[in-house]
Amino acid sequence: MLLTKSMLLKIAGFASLTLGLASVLSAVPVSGPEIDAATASSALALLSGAILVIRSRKR
Amino acid sequence: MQSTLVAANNRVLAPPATESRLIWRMSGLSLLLFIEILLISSQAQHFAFSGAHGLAGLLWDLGPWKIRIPVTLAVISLLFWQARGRQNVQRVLACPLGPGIEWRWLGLHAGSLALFAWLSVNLLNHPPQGLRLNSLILLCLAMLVSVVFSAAFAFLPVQVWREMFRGTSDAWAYVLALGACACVASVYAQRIWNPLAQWTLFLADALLRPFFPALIADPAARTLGLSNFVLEIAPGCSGYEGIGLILVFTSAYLWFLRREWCFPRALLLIPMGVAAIWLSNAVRIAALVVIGAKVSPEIAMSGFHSHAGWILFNVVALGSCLVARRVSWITAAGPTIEPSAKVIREHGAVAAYLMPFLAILAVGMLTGSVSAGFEWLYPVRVLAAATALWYFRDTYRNLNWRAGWPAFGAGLVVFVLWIGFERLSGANPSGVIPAPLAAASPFARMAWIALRVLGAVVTVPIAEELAFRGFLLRRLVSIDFESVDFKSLAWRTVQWLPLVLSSIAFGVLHGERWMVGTLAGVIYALVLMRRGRIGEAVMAHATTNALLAAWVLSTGQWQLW
Repeated sequence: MLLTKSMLLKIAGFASLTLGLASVLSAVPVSGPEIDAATASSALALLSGAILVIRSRKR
Repeated sequence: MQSTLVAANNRVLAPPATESRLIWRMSGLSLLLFIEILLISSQAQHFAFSGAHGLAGLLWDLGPWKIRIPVTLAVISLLFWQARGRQNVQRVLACPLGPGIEWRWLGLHAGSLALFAWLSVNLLNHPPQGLRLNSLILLCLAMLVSVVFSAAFAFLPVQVWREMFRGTSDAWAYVLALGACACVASVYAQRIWNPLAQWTLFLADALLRPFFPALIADPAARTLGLSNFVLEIAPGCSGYEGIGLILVFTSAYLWFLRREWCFPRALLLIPMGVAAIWLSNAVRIAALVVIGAKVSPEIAMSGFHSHAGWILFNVVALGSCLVARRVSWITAAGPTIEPSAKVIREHGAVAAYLMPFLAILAVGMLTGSVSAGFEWLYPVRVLAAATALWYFRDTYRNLNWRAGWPAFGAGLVVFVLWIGFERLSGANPSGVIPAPLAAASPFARMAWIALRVLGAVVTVPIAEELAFRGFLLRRLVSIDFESVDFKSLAWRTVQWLPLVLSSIAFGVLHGERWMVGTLAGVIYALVLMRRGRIGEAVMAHATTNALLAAWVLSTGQWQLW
């Protein structure tokens, strides 16, 4: 088989990351942004901490 | 899990001999380049190239990409480093670092830098015309390459750099390819903004119309609202930022933990996350209209608007994590491993160390979203942190909360640094009490100030020290962080990478004061390591915050709060 499952998964992941980064990179400054850069550090800290807590719980 | 624990514990017992030296050299290199960039930037006016042709015009057109491209490459590099680089750290550490800085390379660096600075300042402040301009720009770029490489080789031998690149094998090709594809795709991504904004408007209209028949919606002008409050949904507010973030988050999450998922089923999380974040953006806009028209336009625009996007992103991202863990159809079936007592203990401890801090952040985002400029609901943060601390009080009994006089001294040093940096940054002191607080009754004003001071001096220091020094610092040393005794982090065996990384994380959380925040983090960590007592770090932090509170109240510099 020319394209293995592993290769297809890598392509899907690559495409998803590319699209995501492209969307974030194309952000333009507006007066009321959908995602405000000023509160980014708090929001990402909250997300990271919450993931650590969720993952520390037994399934 | 067992093998990881053993490996991590081995690392605690026998830290690599060259690790701290490598970190010092890398830190020195970064600091040198950072200071040089700052100095040259302060002397050169980039806008001199505005409207120019040729290479100068190309450099001007690059504009914001000069920041975006390095940031993107750094993010992608981190992703790949996680997968490829960590296994090869030992190979890099095995390379001889040499006795010290290579002065020949540093001499070349100084020469290249002097020429680069002279060319840059002259080019940007007095640009020549035509072929001479392009030739000088080329020479300037060549000098820049020489500056970077000579500094890199001055601090670390060529062999170390070679091992770093070899160790990450094809990851660099992926990084460059992904960065280039993302940059190109970002130009085309803007084409979907208009249709996306139209669909968002349509959906928000559908959500509000049953409750507000008099809703005003103009698809041509992309406006939506009621008679007293109308919003324009700009193409930039179409929801693409949230979609981009959720794509990056979900892809990275699935990849980091790829052994836990059943592929390709787990890939379904990506479209599910995208759909959820886009729908939630429509809900955000509908809520914005309702709050602006029925509650307060100020709260809608200055509070809710800037916080709701992140709140919804966090909800969708954490929802994806929970779904991924709960739905067995997505998770890979593996042998059930009975967790050891040590692992079970760690499970409860993570929440105990992080929850007070997370409670402050979560409540801060929620109260910020219903505030109009001034956060009247700050006391709720104090209450949330106090509740979390009370809930986990049994875990904290094992910690040493005693503190000595050096902790007060360290707190004073951080306070002096904080005020010094504030003066150096040229921040404009407000000098007056915030208008909403001044307009309140004397009782309400005093009660708010008292609770604000209580939060700054009691709950915030405890919560932040538990999270950054109690958890993060030790978690960066070992996965079983509770096994890392604070005393093992003492001066002579100090592991600089965890110390620096946890302090940077602490600094970044202080926004534009990140630099002094990072220094404060380092000082609090060193105070803790001195006696191996978390109480020392808490007391130092509380002293700083108490002095800052006194400074704010006595001088009226409310911007420090």
